[in-house]
Amino acid sequence: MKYLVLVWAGLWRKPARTVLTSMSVVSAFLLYGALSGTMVSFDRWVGQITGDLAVLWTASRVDMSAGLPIGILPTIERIPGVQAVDIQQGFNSYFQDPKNGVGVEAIDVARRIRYPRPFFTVSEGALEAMQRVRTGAIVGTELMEKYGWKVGDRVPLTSGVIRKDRSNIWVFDIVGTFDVTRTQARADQVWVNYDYFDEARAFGNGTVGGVISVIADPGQATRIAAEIDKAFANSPNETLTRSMGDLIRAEIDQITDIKLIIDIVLSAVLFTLLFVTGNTMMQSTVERIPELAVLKTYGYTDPVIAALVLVEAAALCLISALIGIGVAATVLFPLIGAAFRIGTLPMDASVVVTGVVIAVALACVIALPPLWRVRRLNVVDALAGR
Amino acid sequence: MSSIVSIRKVVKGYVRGKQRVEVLHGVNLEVEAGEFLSLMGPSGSGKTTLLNLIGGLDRPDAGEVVVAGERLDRLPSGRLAKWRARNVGFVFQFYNLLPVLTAARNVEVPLLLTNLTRKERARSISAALELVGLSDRASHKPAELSGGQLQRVAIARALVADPRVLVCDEPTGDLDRETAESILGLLQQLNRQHGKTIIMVTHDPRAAERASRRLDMDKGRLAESCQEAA
Repeated sequence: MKYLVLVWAGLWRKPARTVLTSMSVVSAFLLYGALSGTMVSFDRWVGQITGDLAVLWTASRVDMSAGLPIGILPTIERIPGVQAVDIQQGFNSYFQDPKNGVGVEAIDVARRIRYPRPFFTVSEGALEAMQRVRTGAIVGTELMEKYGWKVGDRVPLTSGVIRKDRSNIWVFDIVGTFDVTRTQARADQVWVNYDYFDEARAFGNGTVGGVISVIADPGQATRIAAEIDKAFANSPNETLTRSMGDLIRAEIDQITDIKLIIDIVLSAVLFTLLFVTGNTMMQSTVERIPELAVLKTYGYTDPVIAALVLVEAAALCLISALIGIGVAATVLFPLIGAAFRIGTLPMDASVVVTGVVIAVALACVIALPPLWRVRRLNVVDALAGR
Repeated sequence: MSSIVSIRKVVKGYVRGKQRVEVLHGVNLEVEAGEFLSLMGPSGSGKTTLLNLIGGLDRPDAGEVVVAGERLDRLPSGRLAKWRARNVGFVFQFYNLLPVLTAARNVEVPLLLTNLTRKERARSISAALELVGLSDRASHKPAELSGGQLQRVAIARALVADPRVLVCDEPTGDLDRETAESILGLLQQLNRQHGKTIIMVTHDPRAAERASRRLDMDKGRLAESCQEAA
């Protein structure tokens, strides 16, 4: 600890240079924290919202958007280990202006009453009212507040799904509301009767976007998924069954291999940082050769001086890295969470630990050339200015 | 009095480019404990090389160097460093203070290698700064001090660990006459009142006059003593 005064002196010998170098390390780790941290936290978030559900998702193997006949539900329901099945059928719409996007989910009300969807609470009597009112809709509280809707209102939603009467405007009567019990879920959808929707639409009748199976034992997920797909193998409706987490990850992967891009960007940034910071450290050490020589004259051994140089590099990298990751966690994460509408993501501890390991490794690498220089330092030559 | 420095038949050369240049040719020197010795001579005569050997900063190619009872030419570099920490204080022409540290922190540098507690270090620093007359400048950084004050801080640093030998390489070379006189007065005081053995390299005959003994070096050889006492 008593040597910290020398480390501190080394760091602040040229304050402007130290601050600028530190800022470049902070920027790099800000990027690392934001990109890597978001990926890990997003993955963790997917696991959180789906992992404890023990739910499988079945869609068409040929084309996820093609849909499956609703008639396959009883077959899936009979597979051992499947507790309940439900349909998944959604479509996009907007209210009054295309900017006001509204997600609509067509639900099988009877099944929804039997197997309430976790994380959602429905206002009392709303599902029963849906059974009575074919055009009934249960609207998320967030959406109700956004558009100032009230129970009893009739709302027109414009959609790409064409009705049999050639109109693309779907009118629903609000019969109740739903809310969410988890921050990761959103109460920003409209639930409507699948029966009414299917009967009224011009195309795709009798199909559903996918089938959700609730299973008793998550440990059996792989076996049950395989059995579901086996049941429809070589049929016109071959299926692909995955866990909900895998489904979300696969959808993300469909956009692009984000992780690969992030890894490439981070590698490039850290590699650049290696040269920038390494060069600065080398400059700083070379400028201090006479001072290091003086330390040697006073009895500082090579290992002690090497440790001072190493700790200085580590302090610069580590403090800057922690600032960068800290800013990413406290400033960027809420912004990213808001942009993806998934709430505030917590910074995963593994990202911080990996960041610290990277920072220490970076310090060791950038300290190598100065250490080599110090090791070769001849006190007599250094004092003579040679 | 016993010899604190004993140099016998020391030869030292350096390789400069492709050539080996011999700087010291079989030098013999005895310095008594408590002596104030000045080494004079033209540039390239070998005085700084001799000083570096006495200070344990360099090793001879041949011959013996015994300082404070230790055979320096045989010590491995790690032990030599520890020996320097205990036995020698260095004063340089250009002070070589750490610019970011205060005067007190600069003086503390040699003490960091000791097992002294923080309080004990603080006491030693305070005593050393008082001895050189800079108690009121303890919290000043080198940029805030004059040349003479900088050299006084450097002397305090050299003294603080209570070494047996003070090795001074042109300590007044960067100072005006008046300041140089005060620094030489301080060295004289350290020698006479505190019994420090001082070996000083200088170009300045007036500085050399302050020493108790003066030796001239020329072309790697020590000339006969031409001065006893100041």
